Amino acid sequence: MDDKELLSLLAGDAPEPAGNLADTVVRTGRRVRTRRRLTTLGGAAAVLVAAGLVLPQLAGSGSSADKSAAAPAAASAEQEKNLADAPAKRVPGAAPTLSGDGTLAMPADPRVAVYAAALATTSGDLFLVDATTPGLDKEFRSALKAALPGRRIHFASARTQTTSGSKDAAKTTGAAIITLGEATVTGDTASVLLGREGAATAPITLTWADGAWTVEPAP
Amino acid sequence: MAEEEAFRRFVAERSAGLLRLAYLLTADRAGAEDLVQNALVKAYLRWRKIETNPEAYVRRVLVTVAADERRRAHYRHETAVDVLPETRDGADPYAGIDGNVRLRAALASLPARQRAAVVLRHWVGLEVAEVAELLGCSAVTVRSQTMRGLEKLREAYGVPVEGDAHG
Repeated sequence: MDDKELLSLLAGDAPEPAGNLADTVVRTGRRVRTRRRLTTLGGAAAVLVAAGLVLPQLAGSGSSADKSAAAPAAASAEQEKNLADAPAKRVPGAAPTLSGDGTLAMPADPRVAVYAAALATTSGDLFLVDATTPGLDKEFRSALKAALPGRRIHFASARTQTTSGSKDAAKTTGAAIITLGEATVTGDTASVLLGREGAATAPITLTWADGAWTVEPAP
Repeated sequence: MAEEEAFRRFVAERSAGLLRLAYLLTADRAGAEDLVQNALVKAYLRWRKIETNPEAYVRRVLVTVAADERRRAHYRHETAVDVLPETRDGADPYAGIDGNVRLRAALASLPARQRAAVVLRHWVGLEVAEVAELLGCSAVTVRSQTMRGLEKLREAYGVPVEGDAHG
């Protein structure tokens, strides 16, 4: 017996092909082909969607660049006007902070000064519930604390202030519990809703005068 | 449709031979069936390009996948064990009845690339250079692997076997 016969002996144990092998293979092949085509189409669609999202932004930045190139004099004049007005808009309770490079930075959110002026009428520590005012993020909270120096300010959402017991802790420390409502700024007039515990929520009107927001007396 | 007819004809005519080759390459009946079916699916998807010589393409797929033990194990989600689960106390109860059992066990015990070298060289009848090209190794390696593999098979069979001792 030679090597080929030896191996043929072993090959005799191989399974016989199934009668429907060709059908099975063709069916599987079609399924694979369909899946590949769908994957290709899906990829192309994803590229189109991505292009649809990116191209308008690129076009927008291009047009704004055109605008700034077309009217550089107007832009610089506007910039100079803003710089000239900026010191006059510094208000009590919205003090600028000194950054590392020695420049003064104003709070980015104009509502900070409005809230600070309205809250300045309440003395002592503050316990602020901000659940009704969406958008009061961490930066806002830091800016508001900076605008009210010397005051201990605690923040809580409506959920945590009722479940964690922090509201009770605020009561024991004598902090005023105030719910921050919406603040709107229209020209030289601002309005803010502050809900004080035990009192009805009433809008507070502020006006811009002499470089500061001043609370108007209630009618 | 003519392409599909040609493919079906190829499967009908050659699947038995391909299964025998796959069985010798894997030493596993179920594994051979899976291997052939997957290779034929690949052939079906590339039929236009390989129509002139589909068997060479399928054979290459069989050898490539079978010779890569890690790939096969991963593909079939299997883990190699030292002892066959069917045997008890490490002994084959039919060893005395079926003289080919030891031969099959010896084939299964060969490393995949060694098994492929033996089968391609001495059963398919390829030249050493062709086997080396298929396995991606040198001709010297093919010769040495073939020689070692055949020695184990002859030893397992227990009778002198004539053949090319140099692979």
